[in-house]
Amino acid sequence: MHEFSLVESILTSVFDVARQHGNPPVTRVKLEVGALQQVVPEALEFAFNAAVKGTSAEGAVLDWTEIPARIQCPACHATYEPADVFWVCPNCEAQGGKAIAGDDIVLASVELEDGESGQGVQ
Amino acid sequence: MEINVVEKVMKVNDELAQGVRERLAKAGVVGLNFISAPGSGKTTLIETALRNLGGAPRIAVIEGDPDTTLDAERIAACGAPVTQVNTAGGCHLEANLVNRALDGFDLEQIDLMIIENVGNLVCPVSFDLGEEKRVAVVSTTEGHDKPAKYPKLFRTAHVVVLNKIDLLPYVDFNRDIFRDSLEKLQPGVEVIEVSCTSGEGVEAWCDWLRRAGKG
Repeated sequence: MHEFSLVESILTSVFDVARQHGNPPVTRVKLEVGALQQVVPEALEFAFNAAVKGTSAEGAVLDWTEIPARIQCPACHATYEPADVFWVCPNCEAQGGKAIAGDDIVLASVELEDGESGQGVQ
Repeated sequence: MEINVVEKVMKVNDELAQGVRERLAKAGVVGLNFISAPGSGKTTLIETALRNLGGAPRIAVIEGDPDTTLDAERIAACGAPVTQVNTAGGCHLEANLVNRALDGFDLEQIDLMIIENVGNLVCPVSFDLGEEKRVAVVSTTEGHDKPAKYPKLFRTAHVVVLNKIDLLPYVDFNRDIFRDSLEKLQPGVEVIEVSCTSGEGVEAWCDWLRRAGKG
């Protein structure tokens, strides 16, 4: 359910970027979603499409790349991609640890309509 | 034209949470974020603590709920300062709501600020509220599989309260599986077993709050 909150934050940043470039329509938004984030891409897309209605980002495409989780073992400090909800170090079998990747949602880039190339050709 | 941004989506909330953290620290207040499913007994655990602690540490409460002031009324009846925050259907509290709620308290007169989040085991976990410690509450009626199903909460909780232990004889709750999955998710995490009905474990719960209140 908190996808709507996430979309609100995403759009605040997206419109900031658009404003800095003269407010052209937004055509694409790229996200990097960590595997440890409990986000359902379809729900995020649904919330995004609903939120951009009537704005300069209406019709923009939401792209996301999943970033795999990376855990650092608390005992031997090896890093590994967990195979299960319970993290077990494949090197020394210690449990738990710290996520060093895959625990963030990052706005990677915003694509804006290019005024020059979009006009007058052909 | 593609503009590279590379910015955490939670940035705005994280910055506000940091502001809350500094505000509380400056006034010598320890913030606690209570997270659980609806109906696990968060409010009852707070009421029980208020009635048993006798004013030390000095506790204030921010009650988060989608609607009504029912929980705030219960806390006020125990004599503690309380502010109800309604999220209008929203599934979690965010740092800006907590920051605003803090305006209603005299922070100098408070040792512990308990923030009772909206009942939900998923969304609240992603939103830092500026708390110092996270308290996860599970009741025996919810089943022993909760930690495995909602790992993120139990990896980040500073203490796990197993509530309603008086109901253990009547429900299919395997304590060993529960404790074992907690240990796998967060080795060494503190677990307090409580029944607010029978009073078992209440002293351990109050003691944890006393220790937390000392910062």
